[in-house]
Amino acid sequence: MVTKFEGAINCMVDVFHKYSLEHGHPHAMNRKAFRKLIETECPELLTNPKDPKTVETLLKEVDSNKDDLMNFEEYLFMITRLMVDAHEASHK
Amino acid sequence: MEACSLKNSLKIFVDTFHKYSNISGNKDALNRREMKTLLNKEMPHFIKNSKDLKNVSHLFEELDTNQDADVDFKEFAVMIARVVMETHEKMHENAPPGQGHSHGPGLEGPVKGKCGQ
Repeated sequence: MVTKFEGAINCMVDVFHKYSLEHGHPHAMNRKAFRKLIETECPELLTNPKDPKTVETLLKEVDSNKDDLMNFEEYLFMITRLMVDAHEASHK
Repeated sequence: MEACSLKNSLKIFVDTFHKYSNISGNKDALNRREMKTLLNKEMPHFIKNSKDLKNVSHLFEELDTNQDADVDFKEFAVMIARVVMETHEKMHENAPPGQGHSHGPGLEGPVKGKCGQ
């Protein structure tokens, strides 16, 4: 049985696939899948009064190879940023 | 058992980091000893199968990019991303043969716990 921490790491893979497998390539999320991921997992990003984002701007921020998809590596970049944000929020 | 969601996982990463960073020295960074304890207690199954996590000294030096002898949360987040990458690769190595996209167990090895357990 994995620990809670190991489970949380595996969960990061499961979250990606939960949305990426619905549309197109299993390791690249299109805009539709990306929208569903954001709206389901972290809708706060779209309603943050200090820094409101749209799904389009969020995708642009992570889509470093500019193919309009979020691949697994780009997803890792996104979750690294979300982790850092979550840590900062924990000190407020 | 907690359900698998992005938010739950983020909370677990932050809480676990603080649980060990609070032990001694800088309360918001992991020193070598704290890092070692965290790896052994929180990732006992993963360290057996991970190339990245095996050598704590080497890992620590690689993560401590600003070389202040502590791993801060940003550096720790990079480690998590690397482990997510490695467990995903293992899931593909261990995937049952066949058509379609499938995963086997990740870094924990053959008996896979469900997400969040």
